Amino acid sequence: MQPTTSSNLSRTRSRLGLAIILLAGLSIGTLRLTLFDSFHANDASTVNLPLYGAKPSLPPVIPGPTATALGPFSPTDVRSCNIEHINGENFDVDKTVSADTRVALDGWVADAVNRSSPSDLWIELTAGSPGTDFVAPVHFRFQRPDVRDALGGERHYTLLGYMLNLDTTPMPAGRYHLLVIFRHGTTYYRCDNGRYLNVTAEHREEPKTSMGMH
Amino acid sequence: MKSLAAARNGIRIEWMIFSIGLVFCLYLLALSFGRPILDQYSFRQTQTAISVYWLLKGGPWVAYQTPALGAPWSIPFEFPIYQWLVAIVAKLMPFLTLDDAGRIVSEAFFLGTLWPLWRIASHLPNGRTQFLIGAGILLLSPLYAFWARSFMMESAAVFFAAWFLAAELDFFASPSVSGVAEMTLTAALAALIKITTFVGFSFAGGLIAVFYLLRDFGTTRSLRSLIHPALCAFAVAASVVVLWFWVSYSDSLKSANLIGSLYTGKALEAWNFGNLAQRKSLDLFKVIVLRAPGEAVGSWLVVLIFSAVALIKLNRKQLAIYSAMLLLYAAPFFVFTNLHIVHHYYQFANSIFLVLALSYVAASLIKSRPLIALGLLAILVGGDLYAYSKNFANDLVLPNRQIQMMLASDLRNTTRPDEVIVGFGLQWSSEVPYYSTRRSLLIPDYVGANVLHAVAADLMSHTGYQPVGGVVVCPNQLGRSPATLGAYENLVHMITRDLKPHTVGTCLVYSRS
Repeated sequence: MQPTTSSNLSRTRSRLGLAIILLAGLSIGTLRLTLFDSFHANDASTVNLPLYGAKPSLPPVIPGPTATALGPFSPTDVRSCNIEHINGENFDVDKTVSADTRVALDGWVADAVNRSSPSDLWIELTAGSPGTDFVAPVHFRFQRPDVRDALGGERHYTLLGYMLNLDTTPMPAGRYHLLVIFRHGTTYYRCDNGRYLNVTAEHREEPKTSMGMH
Repeated sequence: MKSLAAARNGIRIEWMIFSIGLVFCLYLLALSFGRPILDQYSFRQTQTAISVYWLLKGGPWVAYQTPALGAPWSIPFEFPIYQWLVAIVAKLMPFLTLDDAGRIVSEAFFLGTLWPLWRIASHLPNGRTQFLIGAGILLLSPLYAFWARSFMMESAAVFFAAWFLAAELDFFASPSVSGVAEMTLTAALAALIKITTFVGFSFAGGLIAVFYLLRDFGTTRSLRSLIHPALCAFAVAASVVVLWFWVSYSDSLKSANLIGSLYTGKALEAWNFGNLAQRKSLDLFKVIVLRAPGEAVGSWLVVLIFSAVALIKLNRKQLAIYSAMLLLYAAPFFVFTNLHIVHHYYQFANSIFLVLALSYVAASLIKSRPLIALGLLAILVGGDLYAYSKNFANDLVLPNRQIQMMLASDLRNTTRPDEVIVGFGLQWSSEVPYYSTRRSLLIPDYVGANVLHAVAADLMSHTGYQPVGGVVVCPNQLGRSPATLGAYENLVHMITRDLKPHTVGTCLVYSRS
């Protein structure tokens, strides 16, 4: 078996290759000069770059009484979650917000028991006294490859991230314990990583804080 | 008659593999249309794309702008041939979104790589079979099919690097001045576009040159036999010189930018090359043996099976070629070690040698041992499909990085096009600046208080003397570290005092409205 090319063919291909490079260079230069006539910033020109239907913000979710939303349930306690941020800050200490405001929460949750991403997800807020158990459904989910990798790269861990824009209007003042609830089939799971939210009786104000600023 | 029928069947199988690969690749491209470039390594895809956006907005073409780290806006990394071509395609075809134009050019380069591969294969015995099966398996490799439809210059670099090898082989087959010119130009273009990609191909070029040197010098004992390998070495050396000039120039531009100066070639040496401990680490071993083969061909088991068959069934010459290709796959890991450990997409540069090594085994056996070859091809195709479903399928169908899109959408609504965005907690990812279509000054978490003080002291020079229209404050480390807290609070207070805050996702956005 011999190679399928000849030296004449090789030489022709070398010439052709060189010609293509030179022609391409010439074409790019010509198109640069003809299509892009301005050498200066021209902000009036339009570029077809859509936002793919992205919304500027999340719609707020008003929490409802837990008993109404979920009915009687006895969840299994798990640890595979985190409520990481609140209003642009790391949620590593208790936070205080006024009543009648909106609170952005985000984090991740994995159904480590069934090795999947939970399909139905809620944030439960409970202050321990009658009429202070609330639950808000979480609809906004996204991929968290960092979490998936940290949990061993399980391929079914797809939408582990979540975010919720919580409207605190119906919540009486109190110290609320935040829990992540999710369901697999008919089994409920509850995840607690020690997050607390103090809702004060003050009225709503525009957020004043940024990271580390109070 | 029987052997004629077998040959016909062989040809059918070759074309079938090639056709399936081509359809798979184009299917992934089609699936990506109408989606943002926010799947894997979106920071890198948007970093490339934002430069094209500002080329289209009239920015300079050589000192191209990547306006994410403040003014001066030019902080070039790779030589922008890919970016130029995307800009031209986007300009000629305005009905395409910029994202789709970027994907199409990348895919075109990847499919274009089949031309040099055909040239290379034609120097091998049974060239057509080697080409059709090799190309088909390459097109089916999920690592290649996925990244070929991304907004990256990786496929452009592989295209020119493979072209360099094809030019070299043709040069040795028939030496000519045009051959030297072709080798030199393609080597220079590949190195300029992405040296991390070209390095493995330059090793391949070296092996080819050594092969011809030994063959010719061994038979003629003439010093003239040294000339042709020396000309190949010249082509590579010339590419290094050209690259040196480009890096010097781009470093001088980056140095003028306060944060960009952290990304000069010198500053990134440790990041790019890694250290000796990494080269001996289990992490690197896992990448070479487990992760990268897993993404390129399904599993290390596939490589093991092919290697076992190669040892048993290939002759010594074929085994040498197979081993050389495996070596070429592994070598770049030991040059740009840290990059290869951290970034999965870097293996686009060298997994081609692994994929082609495996296809070489199957193609070499297809005539003498058709059943074994078919079995190997079935394993390879199965491995590819498994790798695709495990590593890439989700990213093509599930939503990605919606928070970044929300921020971009909000900023487009609340700021003017000529205004600059300042961002904290976004690292230096161009996702938000790109989709918001605003120039930005992103302050990464790892800057020191000196940088924060410098920005506060002369904000306007870092915004190109344009007003700050929006400030994005996402969770970050600057406000948590005692070393930066004071400077950070001072800077945020200063730039947000005339703006109103609102919550977007988990971030605060300050704007006039």
